[in-house]
Amino acid sequence: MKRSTRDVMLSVDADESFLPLVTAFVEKAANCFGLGMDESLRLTLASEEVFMHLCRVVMPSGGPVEIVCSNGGYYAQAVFSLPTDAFDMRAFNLTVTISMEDDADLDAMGLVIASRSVDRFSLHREEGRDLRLTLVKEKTYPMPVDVPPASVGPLAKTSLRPPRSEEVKFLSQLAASYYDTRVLSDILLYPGKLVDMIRAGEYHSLVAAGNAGEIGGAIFWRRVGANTVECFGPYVFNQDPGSNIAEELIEACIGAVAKTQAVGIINTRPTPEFSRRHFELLGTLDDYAPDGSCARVEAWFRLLREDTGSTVWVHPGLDAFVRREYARLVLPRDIRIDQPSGETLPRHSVLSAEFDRLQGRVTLRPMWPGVDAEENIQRHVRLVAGEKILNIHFAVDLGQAWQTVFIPGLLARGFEPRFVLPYAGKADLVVFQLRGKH
Amino acid sequence: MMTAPPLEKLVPDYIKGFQAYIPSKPDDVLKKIYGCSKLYRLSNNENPVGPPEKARRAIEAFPAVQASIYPSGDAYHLRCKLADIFGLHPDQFLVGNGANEVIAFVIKAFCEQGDNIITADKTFAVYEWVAEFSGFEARLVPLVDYGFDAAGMIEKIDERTKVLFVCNPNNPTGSWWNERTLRYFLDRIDGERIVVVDEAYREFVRNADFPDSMALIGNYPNLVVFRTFSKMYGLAGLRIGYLAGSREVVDIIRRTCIVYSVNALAQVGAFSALDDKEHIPLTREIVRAGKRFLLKELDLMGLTVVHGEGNFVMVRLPMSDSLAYRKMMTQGVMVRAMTGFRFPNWIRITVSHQEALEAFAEAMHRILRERGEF
Repeated sequence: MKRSTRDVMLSVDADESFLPLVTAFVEKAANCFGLGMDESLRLTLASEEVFMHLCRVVMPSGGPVEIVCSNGGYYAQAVFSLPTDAFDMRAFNLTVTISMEDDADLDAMGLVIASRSVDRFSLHREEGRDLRLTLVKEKTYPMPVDVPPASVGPLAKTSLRPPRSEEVKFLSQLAASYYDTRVLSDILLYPGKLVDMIRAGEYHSLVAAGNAGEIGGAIFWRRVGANTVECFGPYVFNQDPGSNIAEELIEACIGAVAKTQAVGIINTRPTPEFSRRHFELLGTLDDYAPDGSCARVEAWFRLLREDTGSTVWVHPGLDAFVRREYARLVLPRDIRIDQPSGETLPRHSVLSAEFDRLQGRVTLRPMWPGVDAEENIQRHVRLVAGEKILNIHFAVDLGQAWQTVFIPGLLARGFEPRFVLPYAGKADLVVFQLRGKH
Repeated sequence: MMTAPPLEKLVPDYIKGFQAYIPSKPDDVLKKIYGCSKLYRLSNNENPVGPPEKARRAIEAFPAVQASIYPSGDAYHLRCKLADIFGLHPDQFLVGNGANEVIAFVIKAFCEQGDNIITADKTFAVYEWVAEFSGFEARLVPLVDYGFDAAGMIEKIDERTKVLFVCNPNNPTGSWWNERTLRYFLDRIDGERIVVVDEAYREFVRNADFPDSMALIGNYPNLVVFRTFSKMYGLAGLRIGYLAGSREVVDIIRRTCIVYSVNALAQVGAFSALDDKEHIPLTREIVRAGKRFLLKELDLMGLTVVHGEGNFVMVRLPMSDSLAYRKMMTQGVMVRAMTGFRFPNWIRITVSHQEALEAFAEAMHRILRERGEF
């Protein structure tokens, strides 16, 4: 069966003699995929460090390593697959520091460099499958400067259709002209990236267009994880108050994803025109702005299917919260209480950190369990707060029993469960927010 | 332990992007999940009367020992009976394991890589599903006033269009084409492509202007008609349906047909069901009375309703249909949430017996009251 033409693959032995081949492969692939010189070199450097770490530390006796480079349109990624889980991932914590006195720390130095060289990384392993380490480097896009505000007049009649490629940048201009950044998808502020993401199929959009091509409104959506679609908008540009454009856009968006693998749609930046009757209120988050002001942001959701129940693993400290939320949302769940019971855990846990600097927000997620879970949370909070990020979230997947190890630390360190996001992970996610400003 | 197979390499792209249909869990499981002691099924357009009396008797008399014998591989006796009823030749019929199977027969018989089928965007989903998981494009034409758009479908045709599917009456809107519209459509297609008219709900129709599609096969050899025993004949649990068409076309479809896929009990039940002359009038009367009750109740609640022919009614809610589904389930009423039909915030209700419809109305009242909508 053919592999996607957006992928290229290299299979090698975990042997340092292959290092030049690995680095050349990643660099050439990144160049071909359109990354700039600087970004290509960063992805290459990260790949070099990972491969060296595999050869020296993880697989010193050799073994098969498969590297797949993929073109994501606005990014390139390198995925390392290897048949082992003997991998201390501590170095992939944003907070890790290296002691030059400690051999184990020095072994991890390469991974620290790798993690800092790329925009995102993830680690994935399922029972009976290879370990997969993914390194992602995005292209750099400029934020337009001195763009005059765009405007449009009321339209008597509109029809819905995907925007033409030449309209996409204009859409971002319109959205920025009519809406506060709090309700905009970040991507709308980088029109070039939006064009690439729509081309790559990572973002989707519909516009309500008049007969002469005028644009009266738009909605955007993207997949987040395997089961969830996040939608932005609907954005309605200067239309009459009686206009039905917003509801038509919402319904068309739901219709477009109704028969996909997505299970639900979320909107965490509803515009004033957002049709609440199509969604369910999950809860709220406090959104702190750099000036110290705080706005309450609503998270809305709807399932795309009839819910036939699922199983969740819940730490006793979270039991009351999830039961209350499941009752309120009428979500049938088989709740299984789980907590660490003396079983052996890895020494070092790993958290991923997804930054949204424009919104002043970071979302931490467990990547790997470890006995240092609580300390690791605290280290991340300190580091993020030091970067003047005021909104710190933490997402726990109730479908992954091992993540319960993080719950005592979260509650002890001032995180508060804010809402349950159904089916957003292997099962439902619980989204925590650190109380107060930091 | 061996590692998992390399699915990324093994699975075709059109399957990777495809969402499997996940049917409802069995009633006992659902009752446990939602904590209800009784469950009224108003989700699948099943006949509340059950199978016709003659079919029941035939099923009860079915000798258990016959379970060890292969059934007729092509439902011979049933095809002969259908031929008698409709004045066609037995070889003009193919019987399948439910109408879903005959949809797959037709698509497999006529489509190859690069071909497409055409149907509506908001209709029975299986035409689109089968095409897509078989690697063919499904071109979807928006409904106009909740009905199939004949002109819109014709506009979408290109040289790679092989089959056009019309659901008549349409599930879930109940809209239908009269004979004039169907003839107009067939004339415009001019025998160049296969036209499938799915008449799963044909036996519920009382309107004299509804087309006699079986009779049209003589004039239009590219016409294929689907019927089922799952709806009016109450044999959904046995899975049996059929298609009819010209001998030349059916001969082609037969080549993709899975023989022995229809079990002996289903064949016996369907054969006897056709003999029962009282079942259809009885069911029609129950549906007529039930629909009248339902429409009145929904009107009192101020809800928008779309209905036509068929044993179902579609209702627009001031809330997410998937939330309404869950709330209804806690009250022991199962409706069909319509997001999957691309009708967000709509539900479809099967017109059933009075007790079930009253349970639905009470549950709906309660949900709307809780929201302050009623």
